[in-house]
Amino acid sequence: MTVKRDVAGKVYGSRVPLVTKVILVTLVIRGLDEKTKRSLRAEAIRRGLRLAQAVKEAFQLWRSYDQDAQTLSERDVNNAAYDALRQELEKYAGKTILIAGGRLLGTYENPRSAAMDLRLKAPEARHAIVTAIGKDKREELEWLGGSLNL
Amino acid sequence: MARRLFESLECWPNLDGNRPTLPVTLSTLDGQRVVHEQPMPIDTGFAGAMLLSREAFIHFERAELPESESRIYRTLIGPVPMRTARALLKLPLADETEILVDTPKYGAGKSLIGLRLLGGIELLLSGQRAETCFVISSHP
Repeated sequence: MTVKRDVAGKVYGSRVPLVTKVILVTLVIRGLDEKTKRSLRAEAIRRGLRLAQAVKEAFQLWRSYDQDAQTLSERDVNNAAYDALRQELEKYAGKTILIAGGRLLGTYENPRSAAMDLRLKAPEARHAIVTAIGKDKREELEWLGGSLNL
Repeated sequence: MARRLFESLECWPNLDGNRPTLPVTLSTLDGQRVVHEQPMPIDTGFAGAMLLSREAFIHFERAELPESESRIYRTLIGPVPMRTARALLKLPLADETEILVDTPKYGAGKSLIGLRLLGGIELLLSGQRAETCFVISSHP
């Protein structure tokens, strides 16, 4: 009979319980100079992000340039590209932009034109960002009880 | 108070006898049909247009909004971040329109019709008959 142990060494016979813990951590960074810290905070505020979100986006962008990284999804890469281009994209206010494969593929009059062009320019793409600059903004909506259990 | 009369145009039975539904046809922005006249439950507590299961949402990933622009829903148990994408919706007796569909960023999700989608239509939720009907105002 196979004897299995959990991380604490407890024996469970042939069955090992699987426990997944999700922990939100507070990260303390020692040795970060004041100038970098202020700059990071200022950039986060300018982009309307919390510090944790800004660090996460910066990390995603960093990983998107790492050719050996296999864990990034197409979605991660496209979002990192969008975040990196966000300021530059403001000049296309009112237009729809298309990002796939981590690159800006074009600007369009409407989302449908972008979707049609995606079929030509990147038919293999499984994920793409199609957004109307200046029109699509994060919304906070309500979801009352009812069907809430996910 | 003005009295108004409505005439029902088409009706659909409630799911499980008590959940109002409408048949929905959904396509991707480039016209590929994903869902064809599938009855979907109506949840007036959901303020968005449509919530989709993760499995259904995968078909719309080629027209997703950036994560920083995707929606967040306020619920009794705290904020629920979403992934949001564009889709084409066709309801019976109505023209095809572009909508935003959501799926929870974490979890499997489920498919339902929300309040925003009901904004442009006249609907009767008939409890006695256990059916949902499109109606039209009939002026005397």
